[in-house]
Amino acid sequence: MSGDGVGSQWVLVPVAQRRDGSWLDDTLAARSAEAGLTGRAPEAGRFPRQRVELFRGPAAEVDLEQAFRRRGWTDGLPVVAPTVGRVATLVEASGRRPAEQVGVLAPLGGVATVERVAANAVMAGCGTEQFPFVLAAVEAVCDPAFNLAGVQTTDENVTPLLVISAPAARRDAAELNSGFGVLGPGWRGNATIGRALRLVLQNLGGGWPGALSFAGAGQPGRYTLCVAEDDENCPWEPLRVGLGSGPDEAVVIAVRAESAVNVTGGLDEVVSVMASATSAFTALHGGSAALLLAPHTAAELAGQGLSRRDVAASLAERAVIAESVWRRFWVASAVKGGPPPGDVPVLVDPDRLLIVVAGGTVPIPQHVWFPGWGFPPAHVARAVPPRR
Amino acid sequence: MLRASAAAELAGVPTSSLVCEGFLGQAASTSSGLGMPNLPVAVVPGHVDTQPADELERNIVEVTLARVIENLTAAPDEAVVAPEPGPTEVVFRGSFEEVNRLYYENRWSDGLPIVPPTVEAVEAFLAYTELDAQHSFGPLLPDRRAATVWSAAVNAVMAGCRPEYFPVLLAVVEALADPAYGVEHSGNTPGAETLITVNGPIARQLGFNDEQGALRDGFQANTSIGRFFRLYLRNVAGFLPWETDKGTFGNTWRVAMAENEAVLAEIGWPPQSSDFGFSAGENAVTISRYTGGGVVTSVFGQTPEQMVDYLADALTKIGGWEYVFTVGVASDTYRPLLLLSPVLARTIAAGGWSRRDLKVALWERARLPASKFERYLGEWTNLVPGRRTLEDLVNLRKADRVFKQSTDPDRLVPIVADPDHIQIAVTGDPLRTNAYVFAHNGMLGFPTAKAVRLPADWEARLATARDR
Repeated sequence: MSGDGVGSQWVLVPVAQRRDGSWLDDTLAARSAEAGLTGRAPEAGRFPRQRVELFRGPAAEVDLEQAFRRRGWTDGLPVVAPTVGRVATLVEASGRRPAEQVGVLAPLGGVATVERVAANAVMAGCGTEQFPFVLAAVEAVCDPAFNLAGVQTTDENVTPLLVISAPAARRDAAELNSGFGVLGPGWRGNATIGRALRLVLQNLGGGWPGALSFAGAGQPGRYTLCVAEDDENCPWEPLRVGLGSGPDEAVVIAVRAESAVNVTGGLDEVVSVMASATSAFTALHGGSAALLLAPHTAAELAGQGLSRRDVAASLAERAVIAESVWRRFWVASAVKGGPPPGDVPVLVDPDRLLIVVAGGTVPIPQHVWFPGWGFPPAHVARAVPPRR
Repeated sequence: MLRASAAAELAGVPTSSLVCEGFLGQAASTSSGLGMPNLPVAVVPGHVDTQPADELERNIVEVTLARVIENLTAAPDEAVVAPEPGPTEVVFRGSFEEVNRLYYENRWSDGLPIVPPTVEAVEAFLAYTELDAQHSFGPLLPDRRAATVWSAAVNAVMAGCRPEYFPVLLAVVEALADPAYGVEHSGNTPGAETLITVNGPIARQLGFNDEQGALRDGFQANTSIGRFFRLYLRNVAGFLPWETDKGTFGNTWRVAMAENEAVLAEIGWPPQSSDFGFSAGENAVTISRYTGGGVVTSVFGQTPEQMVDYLADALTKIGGWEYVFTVGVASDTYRPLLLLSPVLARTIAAGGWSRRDLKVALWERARLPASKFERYLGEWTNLVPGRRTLEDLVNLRKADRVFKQSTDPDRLVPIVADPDHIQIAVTGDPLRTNAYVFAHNGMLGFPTAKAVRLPADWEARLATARDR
């Protein structure tokens, strides 16, 4: 219908209701007020309790941007307006129904419908090629094995790391980087898929810093943290094949990751970083972790006849924190009755280490160690159906 | 099914509701409406009827059973039910186009433009009742919202009704909220649709069309009151396609129907509402849910005897699986409706037949072989488990003896146990020899009639209203 006025925007309300119909934002507004946190979201909870909202007139986009920010719905960066049309385009491309439930998000129990996930994906800058990856990522973090309640509320700085294993055509279409600067800016896929998940965790799960999310420092990976596996430079079979998918299929793997730690060198340096205080919670929880392995090193190791699991086994065996060191760590004091005697392995099982070949093909290899956090040990994978 | 689980949970008995995969969304919405969004469900993958026995067994053992055990042994999460915007709260201010866009996007409208329900427009309706605006006829499942006078007025404005229709609309809502009608079944998969019948002088006072094209749009009273019913189911009861409304194909809402009471008076037949205790001249509405219908054209004959076989044949043919509402599921609740055009009714009456005589004659002739009836029960369908024969069901006292007058599988049995279960109404083109049969949805929309309560100064108000 016409007559809406120049520039008016009909947008989806991108925040969640619980199954009983109550709105997460009412809880968030109350918690924020209790905690004296009015700076980030001075207009928390002030929005129409409806599916859509109208911003009128030529300044609609500016008004919307300001309203969303002041209600606490953004990550602080500008967002794309989740207009009815943009959201519908993503939903249609996913081949799923708008009201279909993707999952229920901890800690506040927000129902993530396809449509509300799409609204957050639009805000994050996703297009139709990225959206199926976002849906799969939301499904993965809603798996009880991911322990999203813990990830959202802990005082550790954990965040979901999304690892995408996909054939080249899917990676290219979704603009996913697996090479130089894989953790850096510049690619729409990595930037927006990870960002969309963060907005979902915040807007549909309630993970507001200081109100319900108590990570002391947080980490830059909480803006976006999404890498693609470099099939072309991976000497082993792709991760998705090891998980039982076909080579032409795409998979998202969610890992509970603490801040990325850069390691330049070879496995010795990786072991040195792993067997340090960075891995205190991985060791304490007997948890799972991830390692981005530089293509150069992967090729070298494969050349020596080592499989991906051989490498994981070698790292698990060598990355051990000496008893004398461990006893001086703060986490050791958190163990009831004091830590048991003996040296402490960072990984109790090599299968708990996800090795991802990614990054630039530089001769001086750079690896990235992602210490894990939390129970239960899990890398949660979900298939990503192609867009319609 | 979830209603039974909710009752059990309220009584402190743990439950686990088995929900087929295709119904998970409906289960989520329905349990919220029951005030128990945390009702534990165990999914049954796929559609059970299309799976071979070994696959079904595997699915039940591997998928369903674990959840059942979990559901019965773990305490469900605490449930809280959220408040909605207040019933009289103004939710939006904007232009006609903006209001329409908002209502459509929020799934408050059926896709056609609505009339914006401003407070002023709503209040014009409230002037036509002596009931308080917040008077409730009861909660409506699945969303359990109160069926209030206020919400009736809001949806009436939206549907394009005129304020003077309000007494009729309130009677419709009262019928809808009557447990006998069974509003909670309105989202079932056959997707049947309700027909409203209006009886009494009010029909002509409000300008209902009871002649040619009686079931056609084009007359404000018939059209807008029919639309009102669907909007009320959507917005107050809470039936939404893809969620709580699982009609496989569905059906557009039916325009409301009025009987031609001038013809009834002339031939001395009572109106349809007489089946529910109303007399000719009393204003009443009847709502009843029909799975479908079909026209019966060119009914030939100069006497009722010449016409009745064809009409009875139509009653038998337009229907089939629905006979499980006669014997099998919610027995004795099948109420087919035969519409006669005035010329047919006059001819039958001229032959000396009363409306009741016609019912009996139809009942005697609208019959089918017992073996075919049994196929509807449990060979072609899976509606009545256990492949019960009519003979079994009579022996179990679950069917009238008329269904076991012999053991011959080819014996003819009636489509209803009692002649009074056949409804008759007179409407449509006065001079066409056509009839119409509606197959009925049994207890999932049982005929329910209510008196239309008029305000004290009705005549005076009506006179003013017509000139507005």
